[in-house]
Amino acid sequence: MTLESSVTATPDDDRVVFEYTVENVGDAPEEVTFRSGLSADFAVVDGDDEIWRASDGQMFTQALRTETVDAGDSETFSESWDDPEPGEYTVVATLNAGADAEARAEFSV
Amino acid sequence: MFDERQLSRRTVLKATGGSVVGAGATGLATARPDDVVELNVGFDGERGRAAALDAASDVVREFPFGAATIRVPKAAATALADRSEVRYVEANGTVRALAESASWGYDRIDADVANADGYTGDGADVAILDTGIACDHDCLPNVGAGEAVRTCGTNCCAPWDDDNGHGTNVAGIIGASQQCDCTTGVAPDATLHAVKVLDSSGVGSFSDIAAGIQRTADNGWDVCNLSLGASSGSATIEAACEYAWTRGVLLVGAAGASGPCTSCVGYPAAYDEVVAVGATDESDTLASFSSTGPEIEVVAPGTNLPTTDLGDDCVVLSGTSMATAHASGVGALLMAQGYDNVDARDRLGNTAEDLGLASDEQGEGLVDAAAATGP
Repeated sequence: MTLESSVTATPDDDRVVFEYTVENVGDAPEEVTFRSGLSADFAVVDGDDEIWRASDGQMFTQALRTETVDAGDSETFSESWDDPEPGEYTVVATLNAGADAEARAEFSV
Repeated sequence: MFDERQLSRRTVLKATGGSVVGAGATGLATARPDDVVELNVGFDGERGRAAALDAASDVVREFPFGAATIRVPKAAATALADRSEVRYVEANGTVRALAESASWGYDRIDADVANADGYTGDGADVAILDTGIACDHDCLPNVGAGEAVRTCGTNCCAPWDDDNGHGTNVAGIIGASQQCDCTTGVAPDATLHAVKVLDSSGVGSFSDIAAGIQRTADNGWDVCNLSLGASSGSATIEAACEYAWTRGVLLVGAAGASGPCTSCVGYPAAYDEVVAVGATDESDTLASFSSTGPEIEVVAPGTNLPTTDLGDDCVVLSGTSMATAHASGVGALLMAQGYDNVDARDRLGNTAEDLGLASDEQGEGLVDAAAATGP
């Protein structure tokens, strides 16, 4: 797997915007097979406590979806966490594709 | 005469490959029970010869090597193929190859046999809780009234039109017409109802999905196909499933694609009221992605399946969504025969084919359309 990932957290007035980028840094196209209609997920954690998860309260189509990421190309997924409580947190972004492309970033509100 | 245009694509492929159809009703998929078909029959001994000639309404040719070409009503051909002294029954005819074959899944669960025997889902109402269904797909002429809990976004022919594709993919496996070049639905004459609960990204809220299940029950529809899910559940969706089940709806749900894993069946499939369906491949093994657990009730074909897509297209897809659609199709065949949801659910499991997999992988086994609708 030649995917590299990163996530950013940008606090706004009453929300935090997350952007998760997965880039194919290899020389060949990479196939990414998503397990469901969910492509990427975001969890906000405070130590061992999960405070918020983007996919909570939702369900998804259950067909596999394969996408090809060309060499040098990247794909970006974004979500926003509304009305956060002030504090220090970590966002954990994952690809729902079996591939290990987890990315983390610390942020404060 | 056996009209060559009535040959199914499957028959065509078998015949052009020169292969012999084993004893069974294969090769006659699109013939109706009363249609007269022309067959080559291979048999053992005098008893086999007598059985073939007695069944024939017309003997075209007898061979000196235990075979004959005969004309018989299709229903008699099926009975003939089941006799132990009959070695094979093959369709006789001049055939031409077509570009695409029918779905392996449709054949594997013997939906071709059930359809040929007249079980086509005519009279059953199947709700597809999904991203909608294309209103204008040539392969889906039996799309009936729909419900839009979510509303289609752009280029929509109805509020419940499909702006993603997934609902149309599922619809093809359940109910594409027998004239469709892409695939054939397990229940090609069932009425398909789009209940749009997922948006153009294939995502829906717990409340929207619960509302779709409720509307399915309130409309009195027979089968509720749930090719959707998540790893955690919702008390509201569970209550909606109870509401629908007690009102006679057969609920069929996708196990999910968290595999390989154990005790990981997703929701709503994991609820008591829902038939949880796992996915198998063409080798009768469990698809690597298919979630397993004690809630699995049956399995069905779930890899590399051709089906209808937006824009009159045809795509090949994998997932427990596809497996669920096959099981719902068999459910529709049963509900069309007058089964209630309790008996249809029992029948679906009791007639499933044991593939020898662990019970938390296969449940009762692979759904079998012919056995379910048979005697």
